[in-house]
Amino acid sequence: MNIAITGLLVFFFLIPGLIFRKFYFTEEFSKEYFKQSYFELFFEAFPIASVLYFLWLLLAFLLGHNIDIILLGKLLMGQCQAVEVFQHIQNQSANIFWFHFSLYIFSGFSGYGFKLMVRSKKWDRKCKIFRFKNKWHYLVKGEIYDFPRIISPLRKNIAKDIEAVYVDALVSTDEGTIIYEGVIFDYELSNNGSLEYILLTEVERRYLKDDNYDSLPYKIPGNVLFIPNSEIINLNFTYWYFEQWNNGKVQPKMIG
Amino acid sequence: MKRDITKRHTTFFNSDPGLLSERARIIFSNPIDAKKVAKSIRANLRGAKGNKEDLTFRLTKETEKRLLEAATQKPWWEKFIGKTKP
Repeated sequence: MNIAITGLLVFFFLIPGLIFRKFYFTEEFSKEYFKQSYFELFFEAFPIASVLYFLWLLLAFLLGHNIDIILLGKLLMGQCQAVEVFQHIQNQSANIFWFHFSLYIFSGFSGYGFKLMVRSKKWDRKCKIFRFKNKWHYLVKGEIYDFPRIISPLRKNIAKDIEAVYVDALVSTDEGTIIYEGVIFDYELSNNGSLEYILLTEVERRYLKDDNYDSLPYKIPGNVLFIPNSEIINLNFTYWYFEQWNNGKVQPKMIG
Repeated sequence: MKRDITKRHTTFFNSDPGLLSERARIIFSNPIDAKKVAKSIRANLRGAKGNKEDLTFRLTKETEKRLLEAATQKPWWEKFIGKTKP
């Protein structure tokens, strides 16, 4: 058995699974794509690639194309002449190209489509097997309350009602511990899945030692305040929606 | 027909709604209203200790206009497949 050819074939076999994964872990969950070891990657990509190849082989068979799996097996086992195989590849090069090109395109679309389905059907909130490893996403957006294990006075499915998230961030500085409070604007994850930073807008700050609502906070001028995770001691989230009154006034209401 | 711009619905084509609802995004995009919202949220957090007048706020005319426009805007797919049933 030729190890190099076998390794190359296994790699080619895994490509649809890898493409599926790449498009499944997109946008806010894209960091998860890089987190796994090669071993985990192989075991995750292998079953996906198997299913995708099976579907494509079935489709090729239904369309009347004959795929010589025995020749592939012989190549893997080193039981045939390389010349014979390369002759076959040369004769069928157009078919082989279109088979793989269409399979790779389908893998990308199916990966992304599956992610959209998992998110829209809320399978990731209801079932742990589909859950993405971005715990901050579920916390910041209030989706954590849909987890079966969470027991909270907040009702299920509050995520859609949340219009803004207000954060009190306890931050350690050389001059003492400061509370920054403002509306969360954005956040970013580090490569290991922990929080990298948060961005707040309309921020006020006060020292923890002066922490009572009678003390006057300092209003920080500027559009966005960047707080790195390394400085944060803890975060307090409050979820808000806005109630519009008949007289045109608006009142923010805390959810819960 | 008015669109609901106050909810962050998770749908197939919008599987990751933003941190703010569409209404909140419009309100926060106006600096005057953004300040009013933050002030009002703080007043509501403080409850009885806060200034009662700050519990509510009135949106600026521009923001109200933008909210109305956003609520009555046709969904993008209606441009391609015509009007859909509510």
